[in-house]
Amino acid sequence: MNVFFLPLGLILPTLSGYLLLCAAEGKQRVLQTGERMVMGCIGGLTLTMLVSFAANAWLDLPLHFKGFLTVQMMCLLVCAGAWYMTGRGTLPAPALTASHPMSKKMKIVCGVLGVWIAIKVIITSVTFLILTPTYLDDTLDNWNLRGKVYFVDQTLTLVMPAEDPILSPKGVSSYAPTVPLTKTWLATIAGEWDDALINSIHVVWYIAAMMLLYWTLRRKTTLTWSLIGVYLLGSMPLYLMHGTNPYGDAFVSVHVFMALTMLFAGLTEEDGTRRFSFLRIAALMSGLLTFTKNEGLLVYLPPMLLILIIGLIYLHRHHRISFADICRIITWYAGSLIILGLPWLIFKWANGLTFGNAKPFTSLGLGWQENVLLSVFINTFFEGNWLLLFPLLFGLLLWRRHEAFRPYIVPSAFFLIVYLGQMMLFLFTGLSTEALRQTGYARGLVQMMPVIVLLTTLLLQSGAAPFIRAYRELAQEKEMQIG
Amino acid sequence: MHLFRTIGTLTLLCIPLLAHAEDIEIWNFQNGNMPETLSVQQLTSVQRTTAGLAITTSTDGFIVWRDHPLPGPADVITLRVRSAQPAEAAILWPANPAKPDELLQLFFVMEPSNDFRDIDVVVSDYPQWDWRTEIFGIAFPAGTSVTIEQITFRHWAWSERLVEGWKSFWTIDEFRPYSINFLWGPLIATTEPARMKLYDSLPPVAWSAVRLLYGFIIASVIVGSVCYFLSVDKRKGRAHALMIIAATCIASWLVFDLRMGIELLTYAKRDISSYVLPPEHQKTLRTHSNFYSVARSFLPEISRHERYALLIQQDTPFYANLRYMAYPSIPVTDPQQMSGSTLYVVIGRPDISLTADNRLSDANGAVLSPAGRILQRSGNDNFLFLVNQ
Repeated sequence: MNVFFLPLGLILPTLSGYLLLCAAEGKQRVLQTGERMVMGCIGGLTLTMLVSFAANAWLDLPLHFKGFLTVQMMCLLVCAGAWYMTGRGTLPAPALTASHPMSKKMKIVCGVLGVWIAIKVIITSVTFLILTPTYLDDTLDNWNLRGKVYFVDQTLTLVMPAEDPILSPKGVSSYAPTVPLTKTWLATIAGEWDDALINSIHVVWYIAAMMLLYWTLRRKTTLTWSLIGVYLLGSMPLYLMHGTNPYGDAFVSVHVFMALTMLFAGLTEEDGTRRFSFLRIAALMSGLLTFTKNEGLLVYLPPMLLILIIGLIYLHRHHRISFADICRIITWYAGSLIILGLPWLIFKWANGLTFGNAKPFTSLGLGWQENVLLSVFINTFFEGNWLLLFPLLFGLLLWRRHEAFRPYIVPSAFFLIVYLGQMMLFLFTGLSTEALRQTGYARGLVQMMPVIVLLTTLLLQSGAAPFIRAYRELAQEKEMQIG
Repeated sequence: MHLFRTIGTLTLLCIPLLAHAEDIEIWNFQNGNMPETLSVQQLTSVQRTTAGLAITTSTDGFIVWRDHPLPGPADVITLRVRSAQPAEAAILWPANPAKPDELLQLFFVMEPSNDFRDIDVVVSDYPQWDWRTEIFGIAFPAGTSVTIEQITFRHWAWSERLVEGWKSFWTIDEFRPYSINFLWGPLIATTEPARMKLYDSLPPVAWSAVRLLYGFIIASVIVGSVCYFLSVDKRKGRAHALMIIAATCIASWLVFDLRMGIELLTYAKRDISSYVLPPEHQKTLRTHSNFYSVARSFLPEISRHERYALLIQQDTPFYANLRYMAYPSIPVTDPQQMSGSTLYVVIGRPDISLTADNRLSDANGAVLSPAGRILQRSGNDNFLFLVNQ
């Protein structure tokens, strides 16, 4: 069965990504080994697809097996060289947050919930991605169609089959070709276009998001709360749908998560060397964010850069970072955005591609849009998409506002800027159809879901103490009564 | 112990409620039976027959009973009808009793059949429905030919509504194209017909069960607060209050997670039983019926042609599917550009047939292709047509 080509297709990109992350970390390790492998897999895949795109677009290197392999080997060599020069770190990653051993009851609860999540993920991913054919509109018109066109044509064809040659590039071809190219790569290894194989990559991004959430939480909190966070993410119904169906938003979500959490870790790290390691990785991930979807460049990158600047100014004012260090960090970010972001931006400009959601951003009118608030309200609070996550999150942002706007200001600010910014677009521009039809609004939340769950878990943990104390008091009293 | 005794007593006291069954009142029109106050407006023919009330009309019109109260509160009106053609009729009643000629319309569809079939109209879904009305009618469009055997007015008792509400909480939607953008989640219906059609309309005419979860959480805060204020030991009272709130929130989340998890697993189960396990010619998938089997059987021939004319219905998603599956062969759907195609792919078009000189034509007689022959069939509505060289 062709699905077994999936791990084969991930080996070289993962190695490249892993070595590049080691190079970015430098002498001071900050990532756990498993975390680095997962980030390396996701980041390496995007990076090698970016280089494949650039090689095809600028050097006419065909998108066949030899072409892809050449790019993969070149990336591996460059990343290995970078690792050799800077990445043979001698300082180990700091230990994860100390954790009391879990009680037997807690282990049982975690075990049961873990099995429940595993059952849902395995059954839905195998059924929707492998055992059934491609069904959803955007997959047929964009993600899989482009991948197949690239596979057959062995080049980056911008005009989709049976479409107008002038208008077609301004549609789906305006999206970064990362996801379709990944499918092309997998099909190229297998030698044929197989829906089961090329769709199976999507669950990799989903599982990666859960694993990276776990490690990010472990840096800040205990094992129990990290597992609670993973359970919360695994229980999100619409996020599970996106993780087990061939759409591009779960892919974007894991990239947004990597870029933001590395920034978060860097700005909140006390040790200077570790801070630099985190921020170098954050710069790398921010650069890769430009090659995900248009939202990566237009919606998520600007607030991250704003938070970076404000964060650096704050650290400088509190004498925790020098001006020279700030310049160094800005240089990493600028360098990463130029090297990783410019090839795609120049290509878009040269080919007249747009920046909107499959339609030009500049074509939107301005004015109050009817029924959008109601539609958003229903989608957020009264449907089955997010369980009770948003009442919980908004309640926690109010109740635990001290934590939300102090130690957790980075994810809080990012979420609020993006969420409120998108709400303004939905309420006042022609993008309102994305909210009224519950398309763009929900997808925006899917793209931020790991970040939202991270923030919710951290705030929940900060507010749980009185409840845990109450539970222990009552449990003790019951034991005394029984005794 | 005291608490369990209280709960047990309350449960026993509620048992008599379960004995109160659904109320049913029937207007039977067989053998010429009829409420006397019927009047007919602009319908060509309305006759009492042994089978029921036979209505045939070439103009729009309606029948109405005036000054005739309905038998009682009605949640569902069931019409048992036999219709010769598909038609969209409507139940009529006045929005304002003071303006009896201004009638509201609640549409329902009658499918053609040789036998009598029940059509359930869930009137209680609409806040405008007034069961106390003394004016009740049914409107028919021109071209209708229908016999109404009986009209049943059904009302559910509270206990039955609770049972239906519980069942509807666990009623699952289908995996549809919109499921990647939103999931309706659990909905509450209080009658069986409403539950059976829960997700049939967009948006569903039912309210979200999430309201109940919010209700439970708010109730837990109130109960917890009362426990705290009434407690003698405030420390203990506070602990109890916090536990009540936390337990309710956690239980609500887990129940909701279970419900939505079952929904997604049910989607997978349906896919496995309808698509994965059956043999190729019996596979159906979600809203696409047997499209994939049909398309796969046509692909070998399609792949021999650079382009193919594609004749499908406008409102189907099959164009995108076939364009993707058949690439690099390109579909042509513009009739003015089809002339160069040697292969015509017809999918889901029962209206297309062969003329006497072996050309494709539609139901209006418009010729769609040059002369050729049917190369391959898959069912009545799907075939490949090869133009004579």
